[in-house]
Amino acid sequence: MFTNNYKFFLLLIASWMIVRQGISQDQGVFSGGLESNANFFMRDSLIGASGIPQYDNLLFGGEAWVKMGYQIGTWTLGLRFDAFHNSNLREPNSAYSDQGIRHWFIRKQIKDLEIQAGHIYDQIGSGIIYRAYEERPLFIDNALYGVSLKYSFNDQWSVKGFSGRQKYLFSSYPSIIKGASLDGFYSFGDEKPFTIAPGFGIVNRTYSEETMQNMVNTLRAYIGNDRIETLKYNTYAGSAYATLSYGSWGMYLEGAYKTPEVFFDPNALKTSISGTQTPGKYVQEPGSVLYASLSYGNKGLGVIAEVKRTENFDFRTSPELSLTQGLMNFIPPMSRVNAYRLTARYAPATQLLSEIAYQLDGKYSFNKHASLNINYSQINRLDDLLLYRELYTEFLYKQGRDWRLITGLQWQQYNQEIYEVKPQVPLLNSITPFFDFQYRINKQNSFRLEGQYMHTEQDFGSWIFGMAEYNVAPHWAFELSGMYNIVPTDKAPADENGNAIKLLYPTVGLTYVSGSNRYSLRYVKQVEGIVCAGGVCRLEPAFSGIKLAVSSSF
Amino acid sequence: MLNKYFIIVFIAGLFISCTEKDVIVPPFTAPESNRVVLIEELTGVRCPNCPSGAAMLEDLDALYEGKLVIMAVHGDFDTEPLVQSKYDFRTEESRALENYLRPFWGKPSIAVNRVGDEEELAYIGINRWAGIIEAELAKPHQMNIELNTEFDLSTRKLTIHVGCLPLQDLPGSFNLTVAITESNIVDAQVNQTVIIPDYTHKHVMRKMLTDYKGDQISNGFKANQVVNKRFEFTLPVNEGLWVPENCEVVAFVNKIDGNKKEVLQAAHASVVK
Repeated sequence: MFTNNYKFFLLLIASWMIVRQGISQDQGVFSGGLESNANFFMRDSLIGASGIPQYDNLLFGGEAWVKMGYQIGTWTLGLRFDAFHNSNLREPNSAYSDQGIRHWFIRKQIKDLEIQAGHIYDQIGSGIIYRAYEERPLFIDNALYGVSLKYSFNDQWSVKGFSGRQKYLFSSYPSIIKGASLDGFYSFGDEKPFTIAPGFGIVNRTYSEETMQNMVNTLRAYIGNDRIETLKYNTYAGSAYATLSYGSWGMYLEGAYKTPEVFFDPNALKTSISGTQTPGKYVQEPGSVLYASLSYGNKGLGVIAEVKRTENFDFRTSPELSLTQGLMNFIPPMSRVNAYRLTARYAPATQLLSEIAYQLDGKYSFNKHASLNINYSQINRLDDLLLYRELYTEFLYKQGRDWRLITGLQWQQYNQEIYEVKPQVPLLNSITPFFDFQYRINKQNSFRLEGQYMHTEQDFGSWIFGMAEYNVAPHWAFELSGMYNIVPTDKAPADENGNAIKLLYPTVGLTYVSGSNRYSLRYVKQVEGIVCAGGVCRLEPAFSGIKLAVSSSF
Repeated sequence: MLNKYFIIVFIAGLFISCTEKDVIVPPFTAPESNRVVLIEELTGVRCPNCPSGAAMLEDLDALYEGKLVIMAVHGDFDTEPLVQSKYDFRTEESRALENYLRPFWGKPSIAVNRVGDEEELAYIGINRWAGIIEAELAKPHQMNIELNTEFDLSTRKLTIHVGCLPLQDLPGSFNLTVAITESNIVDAQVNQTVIIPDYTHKHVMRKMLTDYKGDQISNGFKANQVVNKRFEFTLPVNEGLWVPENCEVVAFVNKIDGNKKEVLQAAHASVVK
């Protein structure tokens, strides 16, 4: 992207100076932030933390993001320096190294027109047809590198358009992405108004010559019924969406359609020259998503119901990309985002090709001390195969500022075959009771105890997790936790004789906070598991080692 | 007011175009070049998508009619034998070679003449492979490799004669790699969500007769000056493995240029003629 990052950086600084001179009476606001991780890898082949360069040779890996922003008058400028040094963040089984300015933008408001150039994060509607965003734990940063214009007709209606390429590491993918949306707002009535915020969006992706040539070369090798005769450079996705509200009621509706395009379907059967069939081939189909949510909130009661249907909506900058690479959109997840170690151990990734799901969430506050939260979600494939089902209950009791207790029960069914692509594993059933107790000893000292027990006869078997955290405000926090495979199955790590071992995965850590600086040092042994952010997930291998994290904002 | 109309027209203009003409996907025709491309298939018995990858390579091998030389490398990742496994395909050489072919971002991946870059040397995603192979086959043909084998059935001794014939002056440092692969090994393999107990493994890299990075054979080839090498190896006796009829010798020459290790030409020959 940049032939010389330093020249570019100087140019940007010079631009800032010119901007400053032009608006000399304004002071402007400079802000920034740092996030950094350093991992020291300590091989433990028993838990599977081995066999990759970081454990065998490199020993150390880390990553850092330093961002800076400056706002003066109607100008906003920002840039971010990213560094990855033998990092396992991009792909947990490999080491990745590079550094430089990976993100910059300039934004200017001229009366009703907003102009932005550089790397742009944005979305249309809920993101079903287009979302450019960053999710660092999953190494997702699919900002649009291009230009965006937004025009506000008045306080209620605006239109925006953008064009560019999706960011790829320190460069960008070759396909061109264009899009536009119209967003509005209407209000009817005065005392108890009915409001509607409608919107329409369209996104177009045009293959590069290189992508098209690669696709033609690939599809030439398809024979018989697998053959795809023609391709198009352009694919279009459109959506209509609206947020409605009336009194205590709220509703969101969105419907999206994508014109037929080639994508890789891992379940479609491909016939070889010899006549045998293997799963996985390119197909050419249109796609659609329907999503609706209904909410009600009044006098301590809050209820949300959601439903979603997805068919063939894998929308990427190139059909050659897979996993979290080149995703142009974001389809909302349809399960609860769990926070505790064991309740979050099995999380369903949003299925882009075939999914029908619904979720109900209710919360009731009995009084200022006690509240109850119940959540139920179910996800099926369009052919009715059960993918995920969860019932979650959580009771909160709070006694002033002195102590707080959260307790509850989670019941899950999780299709490990599909979500983790593990062969011959049955549907995972688990029941997990948990508690979280926090007690404030005095203004300075407090402690927190957390405990969970997961009963399951599948995967690695049953687990028990305990954590004790002691806080000395405003600077120190100490953490000691352990996750123990109390009833391991034959899938769990085994000894030399093939007998499953009851393994303990401990964590010891301390955190020091000084103003806006935060330092954290932890010794971690972590079992393999799913890491998710907003329904986008990946399987992380086991980890063994020391983690140092430093973050700051200024 | 004019601003509003201008913005609407501008945004509409982003999408307005004539009706798009379809791009025709032509039926397959094999290239006429004598170039032979090396495919190093990074695979493993625990890799759920690797049978799809292997099937794709078999298809491409049949389509390109002898212009591909395939070597399946069972290194570290996803390679630990299953409970149902009879054999362990991992060797010190295969582990070293897998690391030598980093970075790769999962399995199955293939290194195609080792032409990848520091981002990706072996390509993941079987959907991309045909395009990459096609592009590599279209490059100029720079060298011929002739491979002859002699096998003594009684002693199981294998003698290999390699002849490298550069078709033009080729400056730089070049390595020759010689390996033995074995096909038709029936053993367990993960396939998507099931384990196939009697899966037929093909092109399994069993032994390297040079260093895994290859042995240097030239500091600069002269056109039409043949470089010959001879190798000997006795096939071990091992029930179900080292079946001479299933073994093949693979040889290839690659150029060493800093971190680059691009293969110029590959060849293969059966152990038993």
